[in-house]
Amino acid sequence: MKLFKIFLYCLAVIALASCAGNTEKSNSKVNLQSWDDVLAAAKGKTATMMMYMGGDKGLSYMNDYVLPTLKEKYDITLQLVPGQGKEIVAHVISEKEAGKADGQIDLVWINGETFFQLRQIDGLYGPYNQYLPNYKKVDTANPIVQFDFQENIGGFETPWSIANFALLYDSAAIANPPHTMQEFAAYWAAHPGKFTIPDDFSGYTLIKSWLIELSGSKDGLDGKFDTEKYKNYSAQLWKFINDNKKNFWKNGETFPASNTLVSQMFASGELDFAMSFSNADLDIKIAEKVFKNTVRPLIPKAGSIQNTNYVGIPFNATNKEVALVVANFLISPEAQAAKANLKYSGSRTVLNKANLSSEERLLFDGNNQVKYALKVEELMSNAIKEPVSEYMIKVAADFRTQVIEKK
Amino acid sequence: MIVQARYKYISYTLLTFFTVLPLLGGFLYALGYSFGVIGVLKTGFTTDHWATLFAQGNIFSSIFYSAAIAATSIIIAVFLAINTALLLHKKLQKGLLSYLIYIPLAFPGIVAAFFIFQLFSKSGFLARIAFQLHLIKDIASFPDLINDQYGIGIICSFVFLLFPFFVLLFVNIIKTERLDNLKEAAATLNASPFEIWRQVSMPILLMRALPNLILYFIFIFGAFEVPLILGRSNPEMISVLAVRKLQKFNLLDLPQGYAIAVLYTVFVFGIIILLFRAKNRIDEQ
Repeated sequence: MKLFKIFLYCLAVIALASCAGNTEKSNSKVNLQSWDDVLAAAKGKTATMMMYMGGDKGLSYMNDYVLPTLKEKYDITLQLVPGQGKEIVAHVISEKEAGKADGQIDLVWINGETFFQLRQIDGLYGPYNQYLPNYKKVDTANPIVQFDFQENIGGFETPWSIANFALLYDSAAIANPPHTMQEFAAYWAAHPGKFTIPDDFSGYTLIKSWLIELSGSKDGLDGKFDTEKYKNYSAQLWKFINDNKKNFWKNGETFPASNTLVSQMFASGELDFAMSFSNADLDIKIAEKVFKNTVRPLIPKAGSIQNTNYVGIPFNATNKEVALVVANFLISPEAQAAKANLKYSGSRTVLNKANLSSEERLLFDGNNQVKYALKVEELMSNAIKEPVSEYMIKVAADFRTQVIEKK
Repeated sequence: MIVQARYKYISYTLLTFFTVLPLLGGFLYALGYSFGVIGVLKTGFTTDHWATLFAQGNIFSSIFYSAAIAATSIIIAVFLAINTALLLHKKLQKGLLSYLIYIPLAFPGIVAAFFIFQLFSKSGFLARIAFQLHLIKDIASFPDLINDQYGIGIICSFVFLLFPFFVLLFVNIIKTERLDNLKEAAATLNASPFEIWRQVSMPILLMRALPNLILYFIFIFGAFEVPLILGRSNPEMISVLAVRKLQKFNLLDLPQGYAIAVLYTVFVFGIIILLFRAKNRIDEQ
């Protein structure tokens, strides 16, 4: 009886509390047609950006270059908070569910399935790219920039930099590295325990490269998600991995949670291959003496899957005008040239050099070139488009049920 | 009387606002989410998410695995801590040892996990020493101590972390129960040291510590960082599984993540209710 009274009492308090919370504030409206109005509205304000904060170089680009320059040029303060992928989606979802009109996050660093899922729940503000003065310099003719995992970005996110997938190996130890799946299988049989697939997007990208290899052509997985194709190729692929996993690290009974762990084990000699999504990162790691200077990139038979990462603005961002100014700054030639510098992340720019003035092009020429990583021409000739996000979601789920959980 | 009643209501209100309300709210939310009646993914009442979760089956292996890891860690840590406390409880009250024993308290779980990783991995510190000493022919032949089948790395971390807590606990019980007097009494009745250990010290210490031990069991049962770093990808401890469902790629896994949270809460609540029932019975006796 006493418990029941306490329960009733709690219910009454819940009812009261929920009545009190339902007041919505509306966001300020800015005239987007006039960029000067946007700049004026953003001046002196603070915005919050949620991004992956694990990479040293990317973080130093933000902290040592972007933040101070924004303050100096536009009197804008940008705060960074950690979060990536589904954490961002979960954050936007919870604010949407709570009916929160003045969201805590103004800018997010996203791509692929995160963009796809945010669009699924109408979680992004836009289309807005057409209002950004620097957007006309972006290489929108490049399908890898204009399509995020084959979804048209439609002005709902701003391209930031291009990433490409490659494996890494030590050329001093392996004279003729494997390229095709058959060559890999032979390598694993000859060197058991020295290969594994991280259970994260790097590993899933290798798996997708193999799906494309199985399809027999570079554009084999292009277009909308095709259940029949996926069933057919993935069944062959899981069989291939399961037949060979006895020769993987720890006999293929467990897989590392991330490529960070794989890279550590590669650096310490426990594994013969690591994976990389950042081309210039190899030069940076060799300069830091994390990797030996004989480490080289290796492109799987199918090619190098390439994708672009973007910044987007949540539907309920409180400081949209600040977010717009930041997004526009991030695609300015000076910010893109700084990002392409090996001092920071050495990222590939999303700008089309043909759209730049000669002074703007000079900004890029001052950067030192990569020595060990792939050259731009090699990247271009081997580029394959990232298949649509459903493949990533499927691969992530099936890699677990068909490989990790299969005895 | 009136003043007392007022205090009672204030304490109920505080309890409601800071404990019952958030927990109950979270629980009802998770419950609603798992049945598809709340949230952006709501579809109207459905048991599909629960059916999918149970059909996959890894929820059961996760619960079993988590419970086994928690029980093993606690049993080993208790055994070490009881005997340390019995042997050294006088020395533990002052001097160098009284500081040294608490060193593990300075390590948060995630740091302890990294420390164990650096020490025990195949390219880790111990493997390198063993290789230099020619005990193993290459570093890959070092035994699997982390990300291994039996959770050895996870258990080592927890034993390391729990040990000082348990020593502290048992030293206090030895003092409050006047165990030394009881042991002397037993000795005068001609009990051998082993009989004293088995029939006097162990039962008293274990009985008095039981509620605490069960709370620690719950704590380890739900641990996240340590199994994330040192565990295997299958089976996973329950928190790792729940977070994967809540945060990894597939948005449509969210309701399953909430269903796991509901199961977890019910399981832990069940343990707590059993615990306090048992405690009341002991106290009555």
